[in-house]
Amino acid sequence: MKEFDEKKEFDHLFHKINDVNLTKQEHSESLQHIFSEMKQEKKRTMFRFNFTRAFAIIGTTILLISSVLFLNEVLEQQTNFIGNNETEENDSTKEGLISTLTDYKFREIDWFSSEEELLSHENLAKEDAIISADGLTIQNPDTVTFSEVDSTFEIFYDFDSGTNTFVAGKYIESFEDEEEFITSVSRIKNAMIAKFGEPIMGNPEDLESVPAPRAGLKGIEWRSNEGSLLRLHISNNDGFVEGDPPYLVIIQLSAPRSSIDSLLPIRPADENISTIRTVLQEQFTGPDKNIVELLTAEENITSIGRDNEDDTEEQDSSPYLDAYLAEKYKPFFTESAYDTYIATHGVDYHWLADVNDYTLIASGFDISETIENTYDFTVDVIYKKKGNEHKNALVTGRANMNEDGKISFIQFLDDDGLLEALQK
Amino acid sequence: MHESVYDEVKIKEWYELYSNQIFRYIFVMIRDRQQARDLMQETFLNAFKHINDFRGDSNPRTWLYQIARNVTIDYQRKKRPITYFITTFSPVKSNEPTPQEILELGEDMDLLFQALSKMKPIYREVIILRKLKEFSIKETAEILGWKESRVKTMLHRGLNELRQEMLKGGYSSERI
Repeated sequence: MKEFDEKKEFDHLFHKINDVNLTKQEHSESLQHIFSEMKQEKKRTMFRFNFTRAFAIIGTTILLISSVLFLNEVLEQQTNFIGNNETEENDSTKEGLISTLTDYKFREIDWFSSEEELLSHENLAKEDAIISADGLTIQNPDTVTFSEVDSTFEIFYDFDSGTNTFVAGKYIESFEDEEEFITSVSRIKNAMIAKFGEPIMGNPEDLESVPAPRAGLKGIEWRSNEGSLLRLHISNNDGFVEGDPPYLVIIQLSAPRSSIDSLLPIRPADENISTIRTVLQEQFTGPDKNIVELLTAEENITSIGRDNEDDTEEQDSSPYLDAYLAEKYKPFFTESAYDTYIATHGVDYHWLADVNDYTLIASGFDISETIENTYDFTVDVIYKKKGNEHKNALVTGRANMNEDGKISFIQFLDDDGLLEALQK
Repeated sequence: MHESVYDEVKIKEWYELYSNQIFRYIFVMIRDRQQARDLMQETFLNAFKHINDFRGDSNPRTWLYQIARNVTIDYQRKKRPITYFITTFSPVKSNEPTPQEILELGEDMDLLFQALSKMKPIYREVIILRKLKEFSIKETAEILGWKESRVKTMLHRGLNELRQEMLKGGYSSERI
């Protein structure tokens, strides 16, 4: 019998499938459909934006006529909205932009806030907010004018898809006129450099000229000690969509990078460190809704399986939860270490976080080999109860790895009170 | 709102480059041409909505496949919410016929599709990404969110299982 060659095995069959293609008509219709959907969303956004703006203008006019006292209150609210309620009106307009970015926070909103907390902080009713179809980006229907740079921006808030918490904010300004665009960019850039110093990435001189049409974003970047990123970007989309202003200025502030990175695929060089980090990340980022759902729906799912005459699989007490946990953790452990780990830590952090309305994010990792195949680790876990500010817990522990790169022993030596806190 | 102008340029570029590949990938996974086309469109729409999450240092093709995979999984969950959990972790026998246009590609294609349908989804996925789409081990790991070593292991086991299923179905090993 011929030897099997994994590298080429069945290739001739799979290659035949490459003959399956969209027809020219399907290709073109699908593209049209995609762009039509994008434009419809933009139109819906514009309609809601204009309607809300018109409503706000009428309301404000009535209020202006009715009471000077009330006018003062409205002005105060406007000042609060700009984010500088600690200084007088003239000062706030001079320092508005910078003050909303102070301490590398966007509009003084706590990173990892829930949607509800953010809307409350911004005095924004949910029905007025413009929310993207996936629910991960919210646009404030109002704009904000920073007179220190004489610019009016639209306001966007981005949420992380995994934890649904606030991780980035953006101000976007658009221009029809090239000269006005460059003048505004220069003012914004100078104000930001005066406050935050020279950027750590990008050349400020690049912002002195209009980018080539559709050449992408170019800009400069600052980073706080905690890892928050502040970016000033510009772009030129000249001629791509008729009617849209071609020149954009984007000021973006995002949550500490170590936190963001923890939500993204990881690729450390040491495979053992990668394994430990993956397990810790899974353990301390959540709550894992699958675990919670399987725990709460266990009886229901199991009974469905038992009613199925064709189901010949052995039914133990929690087959689907076991299967899920095995899929999630088993590849990283030896058999006995896996059993011990699941018995001691399989669901408790996720379950308690869900029950008591906490969000957990493994935001930073320090893992190092102390003696051969023994690793000490510290995880910086951000935990946040709905309605409260976030806190940090430094979880420390130790893991042993076997020669196959699997965890043969792992122990949390100190969770910095995390488990106890999650019970409150 | 206005930021989407730049995003639309990228989406158009990526559509021209990858729409057929993404369509084929979804089609092989779900075996329904019209639905695969709809999910391909959804993939690019989702890419448009999440384009801020795309990191310039990664490959757009890999990123699009991650989205396509999620869109396909969501579709399967919605279609069969209970059985999805079962099929995710254990092999099931599929009664779904091989699509006609696959049968027309030549002999043994029915056998291949039937064999794939009997395999654990994780094996099926890794085989399709490696064999059909010719992603590298590293790219496959990125799409699936696995370690490279796990991709290698799953591919090895998956091909073993595929080989067994093919032989059981009457495939001649001499032709492998």
